Amino acid sequence: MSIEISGLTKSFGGRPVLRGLNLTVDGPLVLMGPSGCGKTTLLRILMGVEQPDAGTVRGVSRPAVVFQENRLCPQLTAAANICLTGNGLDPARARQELQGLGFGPEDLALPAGELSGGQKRRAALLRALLCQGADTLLLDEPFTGMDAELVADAAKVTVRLTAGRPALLVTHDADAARLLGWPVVRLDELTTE
Amino acid sequence: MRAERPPRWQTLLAILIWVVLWQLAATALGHGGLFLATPLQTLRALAVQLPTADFWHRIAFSALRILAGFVLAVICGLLLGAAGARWRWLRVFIGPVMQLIRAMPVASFVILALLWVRSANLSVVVSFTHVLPVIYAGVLGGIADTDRDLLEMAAVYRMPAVRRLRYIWLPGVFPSFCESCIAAMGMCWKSGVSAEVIGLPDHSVGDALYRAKITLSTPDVFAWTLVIVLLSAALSALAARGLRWAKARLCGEVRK
Repeated sequence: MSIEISGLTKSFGGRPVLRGLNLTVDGPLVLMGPSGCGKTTLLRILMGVEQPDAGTVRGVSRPAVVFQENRLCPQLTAAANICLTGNGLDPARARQELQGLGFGPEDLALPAGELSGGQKRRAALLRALLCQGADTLLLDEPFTGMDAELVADAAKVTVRLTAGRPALLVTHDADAARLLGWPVVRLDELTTE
Repeated sequence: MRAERPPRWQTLLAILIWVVLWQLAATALGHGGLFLATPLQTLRALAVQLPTADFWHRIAFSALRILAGFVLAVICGLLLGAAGARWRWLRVFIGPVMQLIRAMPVASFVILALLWVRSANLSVVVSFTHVLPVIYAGVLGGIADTDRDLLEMAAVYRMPAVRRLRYIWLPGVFPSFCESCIAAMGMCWKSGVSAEVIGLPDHSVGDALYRAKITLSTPDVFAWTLVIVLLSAALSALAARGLRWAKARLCGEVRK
């Protein structure tokens, strides 16, 4: 299973963001590049919430996503949020993975709206990684708001739970990219007229 | 910015000061409370009414009808609000009617309604028509306030419709819906009793209020008014509590 992107073009208000992008994603990949080069736009097209002006995308049928924002239901616990999109995921598994990323018993009992920014980000990351039946992972800056130690732990969990599935992980953090050990692609160098 | 709720003792103190001012004003006006009954006269009139079966019969008669109108309006407001949010043409179509109902005086409505229904059921119709636009607007507002980012997340993850409704739409709609329900609860009592005062259905609170007025029994007018205010406040508080409970259960809120 792979993602095939060909001739992808997208403009906003006449300003081109993606210009004839061609890319094949066979496994996990880190996508880097300067702000505004179209990384998030590419992910939004892949997840089907943005339509390209031209070009095609094949191979994404059930994506699991970390959005730029955490997008957690604030009234539910972190584990309940993970199970909400988990397609039958065992809540005990969700709690176990959360504990692995530093959640204490009190944090597990809190509604997501009362968690810290870093905790919310970890919950959002695990929601994507633990989504059962997802064939593609689209992760937009998943380590935002985490300190170096947590980034290292989160990167390990990301590698373990991605399990070789096609994944595109957008980050500005070169250290995080190194920790993942995945091939790195610079989007600004890929995009051609 | 949301105004901070004052401590209970401050509210009670404010009420006490107003009661004292009321007493002073009634004493100053004199004439044995003909123009303004004193708080004591009001309580005495209420104490006379309280043990009578007629008092409770009137309360039950009016409450049943006013609340029936309220419940019907909540159901219709929810359905119309949801449909109006879904279909723009329907929202445009319904809009002028809601505006018209909001602007119409209770008296005009009562006179018209008397042509359509028996005076006994007048308060059902009037309460319904006054509550409906409030609930409708509350539901529309709540749907507009629902977090679009969460809805997009649900779409990407292909979350089943029931879960979207329960965990995203309901928490989005509830705050605005609750506010409109609580406001409407007060309004339905005002409009319902006003309708009864005009339509004079037998055994109603409005009828009792009118009788007290024509017999110049000002303490009774005050006593019945106090009963209406207390009933409205108690039911508003009950509605607020019930809605909070329903929100916690329906939306899966974490209990702390």
